[in-house]
Amino acid sequence: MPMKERRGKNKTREFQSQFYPGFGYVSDRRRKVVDRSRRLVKLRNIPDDDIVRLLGHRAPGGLYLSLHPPLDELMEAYDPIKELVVPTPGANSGDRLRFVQMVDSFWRSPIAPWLRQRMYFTRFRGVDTVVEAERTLLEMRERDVEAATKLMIEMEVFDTARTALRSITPQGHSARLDEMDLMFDARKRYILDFDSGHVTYIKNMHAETLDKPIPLGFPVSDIELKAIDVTFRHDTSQYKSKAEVLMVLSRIGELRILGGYKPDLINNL
Amino acid sequence: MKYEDKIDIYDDRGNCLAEDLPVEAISPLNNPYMIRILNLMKSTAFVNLRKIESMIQKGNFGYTSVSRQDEINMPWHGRAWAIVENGPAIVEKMKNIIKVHNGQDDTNVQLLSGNDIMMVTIPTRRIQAASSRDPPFTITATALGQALAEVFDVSPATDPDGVNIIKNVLVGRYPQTMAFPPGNPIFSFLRPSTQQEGLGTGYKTISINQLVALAEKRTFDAVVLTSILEQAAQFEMGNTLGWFERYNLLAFAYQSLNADRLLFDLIQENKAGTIGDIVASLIRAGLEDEVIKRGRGFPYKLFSDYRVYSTKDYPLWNAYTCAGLLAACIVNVGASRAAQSVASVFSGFSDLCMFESGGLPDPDCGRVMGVGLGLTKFSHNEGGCGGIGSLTLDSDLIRHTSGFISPCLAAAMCLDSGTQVYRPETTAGVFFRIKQVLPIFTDPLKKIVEAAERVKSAL
Repeated sequence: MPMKERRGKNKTREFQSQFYPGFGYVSDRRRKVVDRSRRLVKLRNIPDDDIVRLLGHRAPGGLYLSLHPPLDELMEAYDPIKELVVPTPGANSGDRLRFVQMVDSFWRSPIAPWLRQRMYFTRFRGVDTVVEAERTLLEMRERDVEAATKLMIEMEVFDTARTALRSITPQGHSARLDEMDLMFDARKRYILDFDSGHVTYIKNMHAETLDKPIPLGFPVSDIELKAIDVTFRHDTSQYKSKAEVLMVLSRIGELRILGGYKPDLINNL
Repeated sequence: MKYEDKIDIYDDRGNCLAEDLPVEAISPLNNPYMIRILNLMKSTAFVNLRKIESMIQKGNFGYTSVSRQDEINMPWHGRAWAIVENGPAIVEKMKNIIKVHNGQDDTNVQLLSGNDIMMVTIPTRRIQAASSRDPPFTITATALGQALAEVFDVSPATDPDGVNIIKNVLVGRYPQTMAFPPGNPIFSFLRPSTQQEGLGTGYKTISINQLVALAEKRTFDAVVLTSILEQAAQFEMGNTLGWFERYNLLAFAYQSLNADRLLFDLIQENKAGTIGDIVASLIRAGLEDEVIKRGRGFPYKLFSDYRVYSTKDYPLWNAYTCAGLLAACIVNVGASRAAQSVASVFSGFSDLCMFESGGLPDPDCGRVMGVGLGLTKFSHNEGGCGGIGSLTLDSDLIRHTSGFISPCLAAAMCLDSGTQVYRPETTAGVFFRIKQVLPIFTDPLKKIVEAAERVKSAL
């Protein structure tokens, strides 16, 4: 039987990724964040230099240090796959690997670490991420990490009060909010500026004091945060709207156990 | 023939190498080429003559750490033996000592170019008569000791200290220790059996970087070599028996041998895409090939229009997801050209894949995701496992799957453009040279196919 009879038997014209089960705006929100075809809303405009200063990996306007020569000049063994896959701009010019670490508050932040990881995998290329309870590390080439940070800070997945950039001492996501309703930060990287009402970073991601503070804009109000919440809870989407999610999760658990025990057990299930 | 499955095999440029091979022809139990590779791994040792010479001249013996050789440091006992210069004489003597018959047998002792590395292949008769795969170490060490003693005229009468020096240089403190010391000048593809992690994991005692060097950093070749060893180990461990034999063979074929061009098509379709795109392409391929299907009605179509897919052949769908996993690793690492990006794909791809397919298990029923979660932690800040290239296949971080993780790691190390501390060139540089004298490692996919064509009628 030639391969043509095994593969492509049934052409699927209209295939759409489904991403996540469930009714209601929480499930929809979870689908939107990971769906690259749906654009995120841009909330604020941050200059590129401010992003560079926030990350603190190089001086604004400074050169990118490189780890190896640009890929065009690199002598490598012949490999068709290397020529096939398109490298990112950072990889192409041999940048160093740098990181950004985002922390999401437990108290109604616009995104959660586990969802943030899925967003990285569907929206960015060449990512390396580690996800923990509160922090999500993203490692990429330097140019790419700057572009990704700009996107993440400007879009709706960032709230100046409930998400933050922290490399050291990232704890505080589950502590009470501070007196200004900002996520608690032991290093006090950001303050609420009473004159402008903006949240202003006075230290960069590594908690080094900045020469010039960087305002990131107004905190999103509680009502709006509720509208973009990604957690099922008593005042967003209640338990019954989670029914489909629970069905799928229990199906995953059941099939994993049965299939791991004897693969043929889950045929036609 | 036990199984009806047939596969076509394609190379890394998308060209067809063979059509309609029975899947059993690529089993390590049946495929003559794989058996030759495995026998070569078991029966070959290498001796670093340059290192022996410098150890003897400086009087440094025993345990070697990364920074220095400091267990025994007695320069006043150094000997001015020109070992590299006398390489050809040593080779002749060793041949005579090792061979079983006076006539021809398959003993092979030869020097690599530069005369500093000696390759010793132990005759099959000695391997067959042995209870384990240790003769490359024991026979080579003893034969080399006798050869050195004869060439440099060392005996208790002429040079009593020289006798001890030869023993310490070649085997360190062994047999007080479990095996030869780290950094010993006598080494093999595999580690000694006293250092392996469990029963039947012998073929897994080779590191990723060594395999990458043997493939000369060509992605598909490294994937194939790694998979041969992994699957041979799975067969030896009893992990690939009965219920799991077809499961492993299909996953091996689709993930590592590019069966039915699934892997290549996924990479080519998404060469500028993300991991999410690979997942979407994989599900679409599964639907088009009728491996998974959309059901109708409530349990399969939920009220939010979410579809729960089901499969009539889970081993085949697992093979598809394993191919998707490798494609996702190649696309992600190929984009960043940094090998560290591979670890998080294991958890990310599995996570996206099982929600996209409506609850069908992720690759290897969740074992890949379990490995991914641990590997991301330990290859970053928390544990510091020292870079994925330096891991052996039986490292406690990656050994828990049925052999579907390490091919991805090998592919990542091939695509790396020099960002790792433990690079193949630095940790396994000698294996690049070894590959030059062993043509068996060139074009492994083609050789597997040729061997499979030969045996398929006899199955």
